[in-house]
Amino acid sequence: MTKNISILSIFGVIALIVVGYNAQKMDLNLQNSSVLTGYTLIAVMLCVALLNTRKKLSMIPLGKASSWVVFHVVGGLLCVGLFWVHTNTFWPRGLYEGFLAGAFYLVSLSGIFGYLIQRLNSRKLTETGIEVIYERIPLELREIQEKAEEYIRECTEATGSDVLANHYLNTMVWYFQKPRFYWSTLFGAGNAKVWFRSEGASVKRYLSSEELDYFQHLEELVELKMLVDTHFVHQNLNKKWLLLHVPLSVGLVIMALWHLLLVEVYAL
Amino acid sequence: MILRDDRFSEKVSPYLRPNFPYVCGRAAAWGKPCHNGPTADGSCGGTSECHPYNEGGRWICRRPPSAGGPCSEGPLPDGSCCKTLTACQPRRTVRKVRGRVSVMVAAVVIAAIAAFGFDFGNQEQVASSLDAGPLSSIHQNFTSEQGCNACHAAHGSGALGWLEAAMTKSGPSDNCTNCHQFKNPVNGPHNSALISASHPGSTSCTMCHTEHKGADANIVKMDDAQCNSCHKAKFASFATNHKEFSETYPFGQRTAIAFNHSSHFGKHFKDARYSKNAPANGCVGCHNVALAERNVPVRGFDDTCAGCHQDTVAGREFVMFTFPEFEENPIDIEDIIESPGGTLAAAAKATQDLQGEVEKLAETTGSASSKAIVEEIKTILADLGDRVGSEEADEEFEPISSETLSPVSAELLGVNGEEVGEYAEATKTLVEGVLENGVTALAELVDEAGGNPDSLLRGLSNSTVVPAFTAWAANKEYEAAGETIEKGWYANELSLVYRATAHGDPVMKAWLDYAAQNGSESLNEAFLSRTDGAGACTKCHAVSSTETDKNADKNKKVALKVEWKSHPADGSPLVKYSHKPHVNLLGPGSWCTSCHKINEKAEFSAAFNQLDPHKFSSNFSSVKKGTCVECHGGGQVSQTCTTCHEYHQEPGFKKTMMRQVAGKK
Repeated sequence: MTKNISILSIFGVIALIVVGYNAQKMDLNLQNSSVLTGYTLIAVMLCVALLNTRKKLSMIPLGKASSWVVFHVVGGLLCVGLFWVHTNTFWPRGLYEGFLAGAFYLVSLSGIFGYLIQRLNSRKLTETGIEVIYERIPLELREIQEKAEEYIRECTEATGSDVLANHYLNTMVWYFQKPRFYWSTLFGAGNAKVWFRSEGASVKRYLSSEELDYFQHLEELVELKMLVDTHFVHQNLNKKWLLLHVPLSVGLVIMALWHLLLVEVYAL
Repeated sequence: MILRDDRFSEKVSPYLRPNFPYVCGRAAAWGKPCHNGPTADGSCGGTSECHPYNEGGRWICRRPPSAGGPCSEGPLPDGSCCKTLTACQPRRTVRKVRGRVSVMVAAVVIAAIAAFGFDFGNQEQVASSLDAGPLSSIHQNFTSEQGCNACHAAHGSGALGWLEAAMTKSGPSDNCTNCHQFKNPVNGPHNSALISASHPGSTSCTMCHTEHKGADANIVKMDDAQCNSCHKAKFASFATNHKEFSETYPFGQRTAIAFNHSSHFGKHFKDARYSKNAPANGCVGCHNVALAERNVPVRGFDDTCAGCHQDTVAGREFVMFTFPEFEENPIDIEDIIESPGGTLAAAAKATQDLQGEVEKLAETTGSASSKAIVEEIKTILADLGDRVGSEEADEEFEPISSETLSPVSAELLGVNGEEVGEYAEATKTLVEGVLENGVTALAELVDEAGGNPDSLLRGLSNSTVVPAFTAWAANKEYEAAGETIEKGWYANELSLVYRATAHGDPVMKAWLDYAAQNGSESLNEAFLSRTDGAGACTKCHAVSSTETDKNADKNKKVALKVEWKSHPADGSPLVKYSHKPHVNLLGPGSWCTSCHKINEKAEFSAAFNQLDPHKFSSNFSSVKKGTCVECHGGGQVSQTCTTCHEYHQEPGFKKTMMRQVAGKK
């Protein structure tokens, strides 16, 4: 996808240069270049916003989703350039235009942020070595927890000792219930591992060799859950940033259309 | 389990519905999700483990393999599942939440536009989306009464008005000319009809002037590139590519005053007889630097030329009327006397009235001249009395005058002043008219000839006219009683004469203007001749043709004008230059000659012997571009197009705007 983005970016830059050149030419000819840049900007904005519609119409063959994302990314960056060509300033005067610019920048920044975290997260998710479907994570976690509890029962039955069982009930059950150490996992701090080792060290000296085997299984499950937690944290972020980007985009499009109407009524 | 290779098999994995708007409430609470999942309407679908189906009248369990397969208990007799679960509260997916938030944001934006999107004319309204930003300081006061409507006609016009405005081209430029005015065509390039003819298409104010950029914004800024976009001759900077100035720059035509700098500075001011009158400080002795703008105005006549030329003005009078030679007595005294309302009777009455007034004046003042006038009038009356009833009238007529009619009178009467047969009747009528109505008869004559009596006959009174015409009617030379002050209007012997009282004499100027606009060749010769013209005005003031069309009919009489006031050397309306900062910059000592160098070889005076002001030879060598480049070429000083050129012609404000300003004060 990166390659596609690079290729399409070349076309985006060319498009920006063409529009900018023509706008400058119009300015030099004392024509209103804002009409050209403004209508181009809103047209590209609407096309870029179609990605969301494309996702809802997955049953219709409208091209590969990845191609749409590439277009969305390049088109979004093109919008930033067009915005500056259109306004000739970083922050326009006028209260409404200020809000419009603010919304535009928020959408743009959230989009850039989303693109970057998706790039980073995909690498981190690949590094886990497993594939987990986001919607199945509760089920996966539950199964890991059930497996852990199965080991505990087997240990108790086989060794007649409840040390590991008590340790599980007092400490480990908290960890297996749901994703833990969210921020640590997000930033790769490894707190979960430290926590487990710390808690494990306090109980391992009381375990027999047979119990240590079960503890070894339990440790494997913890490491597996860490991977699932990693999937949850990053996939969750991959979805949650859109909670900012998409609604803001909707607001931006409405504000831009109102702006267009005002311009047509008052300035043209 | 996650590590199983067959974890997506239908035997171990439930069917996931990622596009469903809800997820299982148990999964959302990190419990074990049920196999069925929520329904599409958001209710729990997992209150039973399966939905049995009826086959051949028997209910069969449909629990899928991934949930453990058909249960051993089987469905209940009523067809319901035997394994019931507590219902969960399904939760919205992130996508669903995102959709709802999007709708909410859209609603908030639309509500905000509805609340603040319009200007309701409410002073307490906090903000409006129609507020495009503050106006420039020069415009912000003009919207206080009309508000946005001052520039935007569609403002407040309702939905239909907005629709119409959106569908038609009606920008704010249309309203600029409510206050601003320019030379026509207003919407033509450079407000020039000539340029508009060769470059069709209109301009609008907003092409260059954009408002709502803040109080301190420069809304008149124009870059060189914008000039280059239209002009075929494109250049990077004044110093490098601008064309050389014209051969006569900065002079586009001859000066209004035929002051020969070369002869005055080279000869007259060096002459011992006049050197005391030479301007003490060179150029600034005559040119008022304090008022320097594009032109450095010349000080008045009294401060400059009068030192040498004071007497020249009064040296040439003009004769308005000369009592001409008649072949027979034009005035029949008997007829006049016998007629109760006759002209001679009226003349006698007027003369008697005049006598009475002058006698009173003589008694009051004791003036010798007044007493002399009284004596003169008595003589005329006595002579009139002697002639009435005498046989003198019947004797052979011997005309007192051998003159021809003056060119001015001939022009006014519309006759040939050289031929007695042509002018006799008209002159007789004029004389009788003056005897009957005094100056009024002359005023009517001037008026009929297209002149303005108020200005042309200003200062002419019956006391001057009636005695003289009375004497001439009596075939006598008029001899003014006492010492005649020969300035202004006066009569002497056979003529009614005007001599200018001083420089700028309004009557003399009026007669020159009349001659220039309406006069015949003889009248032009009488007034506009540089050598013999009345008042000697045209010795210095140029007489120019008002005809600018080179293809005009050469046989057609061309109106002329006397150039009373000096005008800018370069008449180009799109060039701007102010002498003041340059003079201040150069300082005393360098003064004007830094740029203006006298060209002693120029045939300056010859240009004033013809009527075309554009055929001239300047007193000064042309100013070269290099002179300007010395400063405007190194980057230290501006050399943009607008440094020296204007875009608009004749910019100004309409009275409506001025009234608005006055109303505010």
